[in-house]
Amino acid sequence: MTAIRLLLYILFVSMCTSLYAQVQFAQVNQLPTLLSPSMAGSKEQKRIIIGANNYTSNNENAGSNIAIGYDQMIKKIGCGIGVYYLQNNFKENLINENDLIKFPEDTRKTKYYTIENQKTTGICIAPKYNITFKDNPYKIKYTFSPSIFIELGKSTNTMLCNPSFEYKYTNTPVYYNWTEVNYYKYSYNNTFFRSGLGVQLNNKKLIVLGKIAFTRNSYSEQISYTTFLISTNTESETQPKTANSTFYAVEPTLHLGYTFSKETNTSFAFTPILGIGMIHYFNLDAQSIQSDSDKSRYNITQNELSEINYVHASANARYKKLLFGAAYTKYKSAVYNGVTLGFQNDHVKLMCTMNFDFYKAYADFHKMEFTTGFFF
Amino acid sequence: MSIQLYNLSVHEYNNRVCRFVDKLLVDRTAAKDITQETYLRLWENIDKVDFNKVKAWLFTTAYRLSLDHIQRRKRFVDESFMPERCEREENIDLKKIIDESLTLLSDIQRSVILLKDYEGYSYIEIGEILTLSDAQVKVYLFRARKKIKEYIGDLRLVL
Amino acid sequence: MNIQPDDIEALIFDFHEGNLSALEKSELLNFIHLYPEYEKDFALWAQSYVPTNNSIDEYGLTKFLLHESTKPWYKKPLTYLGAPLLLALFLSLSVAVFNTPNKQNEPIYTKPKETINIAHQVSESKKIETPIIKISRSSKSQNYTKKTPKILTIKDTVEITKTTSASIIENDTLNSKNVVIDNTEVSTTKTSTKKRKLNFSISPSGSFIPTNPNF
Repeated sequence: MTAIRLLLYILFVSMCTSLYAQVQFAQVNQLPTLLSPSMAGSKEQKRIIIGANNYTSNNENAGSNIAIGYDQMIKKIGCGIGVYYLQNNFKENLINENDLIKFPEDTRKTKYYTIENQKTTGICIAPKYNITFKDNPYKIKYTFSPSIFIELGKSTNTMLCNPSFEYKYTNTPVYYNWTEVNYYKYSYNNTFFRSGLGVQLNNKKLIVLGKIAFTRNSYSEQISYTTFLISTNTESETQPKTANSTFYAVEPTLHLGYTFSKETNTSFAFTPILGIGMIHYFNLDAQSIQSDSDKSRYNITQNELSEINYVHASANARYKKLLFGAAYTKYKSAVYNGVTLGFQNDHVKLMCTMNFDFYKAYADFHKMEFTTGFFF
Repeated sequence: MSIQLYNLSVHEYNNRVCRFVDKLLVDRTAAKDITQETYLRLWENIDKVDFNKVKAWLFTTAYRLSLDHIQRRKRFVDESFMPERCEREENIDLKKIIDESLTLLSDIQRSVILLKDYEGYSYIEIGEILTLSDAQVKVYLFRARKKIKEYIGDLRLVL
Repeated sequence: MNIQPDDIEALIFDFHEGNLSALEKSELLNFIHLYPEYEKDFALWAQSYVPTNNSIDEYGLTKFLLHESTKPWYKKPLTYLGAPLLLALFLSLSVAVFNTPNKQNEPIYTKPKETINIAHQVSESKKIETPIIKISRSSKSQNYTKKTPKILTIKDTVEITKTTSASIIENDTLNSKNVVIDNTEVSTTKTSTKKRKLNFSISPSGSFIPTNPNF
């Protein structure tokens, strides 16, 4: 790797992600209302959070994610409120050049892809209750914060699935030519409604976060079968079939964090965080999820129907105003890991994550994850 | 400060502090709680507090805790409200009338009156406890006494 | 002093507060004498003081706020009385237990004695007799079960609550050097801390513990 590329890795941040990434950020603890709705108003200041990342690879996969959130405490009613917006985009080129030796490159780039866009907005309310000592009601031992949240979102996906290539022998038996490609086009719109409860228990050092979300997915699908003739560069497509379906999911998540710091010396603190989550689908016809396709219906595979789909572990350290640490997040098949650097004062917090593989010679990677928070 | 001095401060001032908070909040139970919390904080800071200044420290801490309590309970005193005067009663207890008039004052006015009349602090000392200048203390004291005077009403009713 | 009607209230206030000089006081009194309509106000201002007496109500908190004596256990009078008594008791019990002239010492063991005999060696050549030395080893095994009674203990915490030090420098006239006597007291207070009961607030509060900024 050249020095310039190494510098790019140091200056810019990278985050490793794989297909169907749905957890967009490694720095989950820097996006508190996304982590748990009970975090709304958990900081005494008003808070704006912004998170963004993108990635490209030499497989021409590209994704970008944006998260914006605002939360504050309303002291009069002892309640925190928060609003947030998430946008996720993902594009993957299904066919790499090794599969189609003779396939036209422009056709490969424009035809064979999957694009997923998802937009989510949410609102949460989190009142704060104090657990005090009976003999001294002025001494707060813990703060307990139950919460409710509501999200509305829409996701669209267009993909070309299961291309099967047929070939015929030519007059020259030395090599084979692909002459015809059969595939099906599959697209869906999913309007989902998600609501749930959150809970937070914290004191000055300990924090326990829980969240349970119930999602109602309403899918509107279209599928058509297509044959593409390479010789004439023409595509013939059947009449698309439509289908509507509704199913549900429940996703509980739990996070635990503890801050180790000396009371007398607050210039250094260390906060490990652990998280775990799972998902379970209801009213989903398992047979509708095709096991013989690498692009399953609804973008859900059979082994994802009920599973622990989220694991997070991070070590976050602070020395005076400097932040550093390491994080590992796995959501479904996506893995996020990296080394984190940041800066924090009373009004601003900036965080960057660099992938562990930064020293490897990936030529075309320009990965970045950046979160910032403003407090006032 | 040694523990003997701490105990001495308990003997000397705990009832005074409690009376101050009691008159300020008009809540005996809360006054006891705040007094206990005040002395708990003194115990935690026993190395840092000088015994010569412990009285002012106690009153300052108790005052701040009282303000927190008031804020928490969202007490509102309608300063424009003047309770009806007992016009026809004879042998009216002046002390009782004055105590009633204290409830008409704002928290800071009441604090100033209590510290001046009950504890005999000077303007400067009151200012240190309530984080005010001595000029501000004098202004608050003037306004408070004026309100009490207005409430007392006709001198012939109370004598 | 030129007294204006607008200033009269402030002056009366200052009069009763004791902020006026003797001259100013007399001028004010003369003014009031000349204008009797201010007499009522003057009297009311005098009444606006909270009547206090020397006695202070007892709120019953004193015993809860006091802390125990700071003397370490070895300096307490009870130690001086109790320690010799305990020692005497221990010694007498020891004598009673270990000195039983009428009773043979019976070792408590279940295993048989192991006797090691050093062979009687007679060196024929040298004709030196070595005595037989018997060393008996007895293994003591105590077969008893110790029942530890269940005790509900309140957790005791010992805290070093304060340290005071006073250094006194004395002149040692004989050796002409300063001797520093350090009266450092390390006071310990044994406080038994019971598990404190918790109270859950019913209504939400604007005062709460914020999440740690390191999170």
